[in-house]
Order: sequence, then structure tokens, then C-alpha cells
Amino acid sequence: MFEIRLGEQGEVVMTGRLDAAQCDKALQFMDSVPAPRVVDLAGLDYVSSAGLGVLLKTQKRVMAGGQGLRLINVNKHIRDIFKYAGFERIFEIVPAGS
Amino acid sequence: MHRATSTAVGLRAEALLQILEVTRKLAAPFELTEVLAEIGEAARSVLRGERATVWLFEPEQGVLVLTGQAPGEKPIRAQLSQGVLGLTARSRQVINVPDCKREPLFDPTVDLDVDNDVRCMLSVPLVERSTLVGVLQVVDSENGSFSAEDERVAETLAAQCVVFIQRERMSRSLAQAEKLDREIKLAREIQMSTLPSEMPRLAEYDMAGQFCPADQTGGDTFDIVPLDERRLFLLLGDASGHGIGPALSATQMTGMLRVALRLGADLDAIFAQVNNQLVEDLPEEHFVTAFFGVLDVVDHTVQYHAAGQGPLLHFQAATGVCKWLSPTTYPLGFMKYPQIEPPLQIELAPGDILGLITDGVFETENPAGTMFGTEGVEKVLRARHEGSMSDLLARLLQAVHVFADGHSQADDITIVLLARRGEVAGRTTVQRYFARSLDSLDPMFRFVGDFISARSLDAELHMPVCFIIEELFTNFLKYNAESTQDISLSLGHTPDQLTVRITAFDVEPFDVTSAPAVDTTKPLAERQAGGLGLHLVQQMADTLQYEYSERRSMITFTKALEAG
Repeated sequence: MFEIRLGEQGEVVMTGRLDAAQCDKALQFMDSVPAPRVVDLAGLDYVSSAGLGVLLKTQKRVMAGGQGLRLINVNKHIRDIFKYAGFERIFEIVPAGS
Repeated sequence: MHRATSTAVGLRAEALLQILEVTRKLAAPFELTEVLAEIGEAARSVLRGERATVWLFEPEQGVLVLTGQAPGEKPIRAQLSQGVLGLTARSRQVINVPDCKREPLFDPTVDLDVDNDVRCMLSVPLVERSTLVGVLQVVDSENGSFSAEDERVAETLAAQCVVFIQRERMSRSLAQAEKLDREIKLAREIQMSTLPSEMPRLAEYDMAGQFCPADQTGGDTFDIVPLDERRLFLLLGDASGHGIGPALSATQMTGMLRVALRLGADLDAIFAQVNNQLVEDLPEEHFVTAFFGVLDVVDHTVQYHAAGQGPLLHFQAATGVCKWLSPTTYPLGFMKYPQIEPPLQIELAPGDILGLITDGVFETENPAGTMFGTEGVEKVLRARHEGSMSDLLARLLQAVHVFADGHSQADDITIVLLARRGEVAGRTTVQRYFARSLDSLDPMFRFVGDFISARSLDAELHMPVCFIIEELFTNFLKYNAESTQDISLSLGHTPDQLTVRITAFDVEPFDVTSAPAVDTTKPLAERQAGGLGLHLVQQMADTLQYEYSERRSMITFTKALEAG
């Protein structure tokens, strides 16, 4: 189960499992948000490389406008994957609980 | 006695015309008896004899038969050793007897001299391509004896007659075969209509059953009847014989079973009574092999009688062993059982499978003459026992089909499979197949989650293991899209290591371990999403191995388990 929506402060909220079966839905949503700034991953249990691709693509678009994505409330597992993927060099990552 | 050797040349014009007339008459459709009467009459008239008879040869009994001349009259049978008649049949030559009284071989009983007044005889074999069809005999009590020309006339007439006798016999057997075909087809439809239309749904159990009729004969049947909340009756039967009989016997047995169950009869009583009835009804050489069993879904037992039906398959999941059980007694329909032994019992542990399989499966032959056998069943079962029973059944039928390699199906094939679900005790490896679709990701993740929690393994492993599996699985979908075969996922563990194996079938090789490394330190503008997945797999797996053989790609990876 995967859900994506806008939160109260205009942040993108992702919950559930972002796998290859869900990445089209995620990308469509991200593309529909003109200038996303914050992605809240507190409820995200899982992300696969297809999901990483969605974040990468969105980051490229946002940075072209001189901005950047903040990934907040990132749990340990997903932080590990971000680390392996070299995401800490590309995104501002805020771990859960900090 | 004089054996004729002449050929049919230079016949008198009158005789030729008469023979042609007979030919014309016989060209119209006739019953065989009419054909014979017509031939006899023609021979008598052409050869100016007093009486003519046509004997037909019955190759199966090796005798000559003269059908009744008048309605209700019994046919007369003669051995090939008897009389001039027999000699004609044996030698296949025309025999001209000028004076029957002086001929030692002449036998009034078969050479038909009832009134003891026959003077001369012409005995002509009816032969088609050296095959004996019958004998034509013409006798006379006056006019001296038959001439050499008469012999040639008789031979010419005989040659014509053979054609008509054979035509008549052939069309008769064709008509009979057509009628039999229609009857068999109808009986088969009735037989099919008695099969259960769907499998009962039971908690903890998975069932599948299928009947695949052979083209012509066969008498397989099966039935599954819920008795009450916890018990289910299982029947599998295979009636012997050819033609319409087996289908009828199979149908009769299902009918008897249904009635007996309605009357509340128990397993032993049903078994004994169905046998008694079949003993009364079946022809002596026919019988029915059958499995009668009752599954108890609370005790997880099957009590059964197997009358000549076997081997029965009991797959034991805990050890992975296929146990083949023998019949408990001789087939139904031979004779009454002097006493009914108590039923035997199979205990079904979680993961166990009971397989009721008719001999059509085991005895399927390939063109080299090798049989599918129990080995063929075991091979499929070992690879597919974790899946649904309907899937296993389909795989078995497919394996039989592939094995037969175009050899036609000689016998009915029936398979009933019953599996008890649940975690297999003491097992450290589980395996399941998943369709080539992204929709499989969810059930795959649940499969991994169930495995980890059922064995109290480190829950932290769930996420990275699922990650690696998803990357490898989607990789197979992307790079081996030409294959239609499901992908196998197996999970196993020792105290210190979790091992995962993912296998794709009927694919070209694609070595994931040699995927190029991705430079994750590059700035974003130079980063691509592609290739990242396999790069991460290599990072996250403790070990990663790739093997390729027989068009199958097998990837195995491990993750260390914390001690304790």
C-alpha cells in the first residue's frame, strides 16, 4: 500500500511502500506539484530503486529552478539506502527524531 | 477327383452374359444374406446345377459357416478338415468331383447331400488377394459331370462374388463402428456430467481435481462430497474394458456412492455394498479399481479403502519424501469381500499432499516406449508442491503432455490433489512461484515477512531483503521479458545466515554480479536512475552469486543473522 498527498504546510507526504509498482503514481503526483520543497517520509516503510528514481528526477527539476528538496523524518532503513545510493550528497536529509 | 487349373478365358457367351447380369444385380445395396442367396442362385443358373450353396469363412474361429437358408434356421458350421468343402478352403483351388459316390473325401454332412442323391460337384474357393472369404459349391444329380469350361465359369463368377461379399461385410462393420462411436460419445457425456463442478472450500485445505478423457475408451471418475462440517468423502475410480462399458460402470459407481451417502451409510458399508452391486452387474472379465476415502479436517486424517487403486501418493512436507501407498485390497466387481478390513489411515501434516492419480498418468508412454511413472510425478511435485493445487495439477498435466511428445493419449487421465496448508514443522527452506508482474511484489513481500516472523528472525532484515528481491525480480521482468514462466523465490536460513534464491526460467543469461558500478559521488546533473538498483544490491547483499544453466538464471544472496 502506498499513498502520496500534500500535507498541511504544503509538504509532500509519502506513506507505505514505494516500490516499482507504485513509482508511476508517485512521479505523476510529484510532477503535479509546481515547486515541492519538503518531502515527509515519516510514514514511508520502504523504497526501492524505482522510488529513488522518482526522487532523483524531481530533484533535478527543482534544482533547475534554483531550489532543492528536503527529505524529512527519514527512518534508519531508508537512510541506509539513501546512503548507499549517495543521496546525502544530493539531498538535504533530516533523520527521524531529530 | 480332379483339381482344376484352368484360367477364365474363352467362356461361352451365354455364361458371360449371365455373370454380367449377376454383377449388375449385386451392385445394388443388399443385406449379406440376400447377396449370398443371389450368388447361389446365379451359380446354379449359370452352371446349370441343381443346387448351390455359399459358405463364408470366419477367420477368428477358423470355421466355414452356412447361414440359414430359411428364416429361423440355424447356421451350419464346418471345420476346414471336413469334406471336399474343407479341402477347397485349405487348397484354395477349384475342385471338380465327377462322381461323389466314389470320392473318399466327400462328406455328405458338410458337402450337403441330405437326400443322398448328389452325383457330381463343383467346389470353388472364394478368395481375395490370397485371403479366404468362403467356398461356393454347386451340385447336380443328373447331367453327367461338370466340364472344364464350367470350372472357368465358376472361377469367374467366384471372383465377382468375392468383391460383393467383401463390400457388404465392410459397409456393415463401418455402420456398426459409427453407431458405436455415437453411443460411446453419449456415454462419455454422461460420465463427464457426474464429475463435481467445483471444489469444496475448506479452511486449511487446498484441493484440485481434473478428468481428461482419452479419445475412445476409458472409465475414470472422481467425486468429492462434503458429509458434514468436518468430513469430506473422496472417490477416485477407474473402470476396465473397452467401448461403452467403462464409462457406464464409472457413472454407475458415482451414482451408487451419491445414493449411499444420502442414506447416511459409512465408509465400510459403502465400500462393501458398491462392490457387491458391481459383482452382480459387471461382466465377468470387467472390474473397477477405486479409492474410497473420508477426510477429517479436524483430525487431519484420511481413512480409506483402495480396491486395486494405486499407487497412492502421500507427499510428506517435513522430509520432502514422496511415499507411494499400495492398494488395500483387490479391485471392485471380482467377487464379494469375505470381510471388510478396517480402513487404513493417512495422517496429513502441514504441507502434506494426498495425490489420487489414475494409471493413465503413470502409463503415459513417450515415443521411445518409456513410461512417465511415479518418477515423472515426483519430479513435478518436488518443484511445485509449495504452490496451489490447481497450479500443481496443471503442471502435472503439462508434464505428461510434454513427456508423451505427440504420442496419443491411450487411457483416461484423472488427478485429484489434496493439500493441507500451514507452516511445515522443522523446515528451514520455503519456496514459491510468482507471476511475472509488478503485482507480484506485494505477495512477495508478505512471503518474506511471514518467513521472518514465523522463525523469529531479525525483523530489521525485512526491508533490505525485500529491496534486493525487488531489484532482482524487476530486473528479470525488464531484461528477460521474452519468458512467460513464473519466477521462483526460495528462502532458507541457518542460525547465522539467511539465504535467498531467485530463479528465472527459459531466459538468456544476464549476470547481475558483473553490472557496472555506479559512481554515487557524481553531482546530480550527471546521475541517472538506471543501474542504481543493481549497484545497491551489490552494496546491500553480504554475498551475491549468479549461475546460469539450462536456460535458467539463478541468483543467490545471503544476509548475516545476529547470533541468538
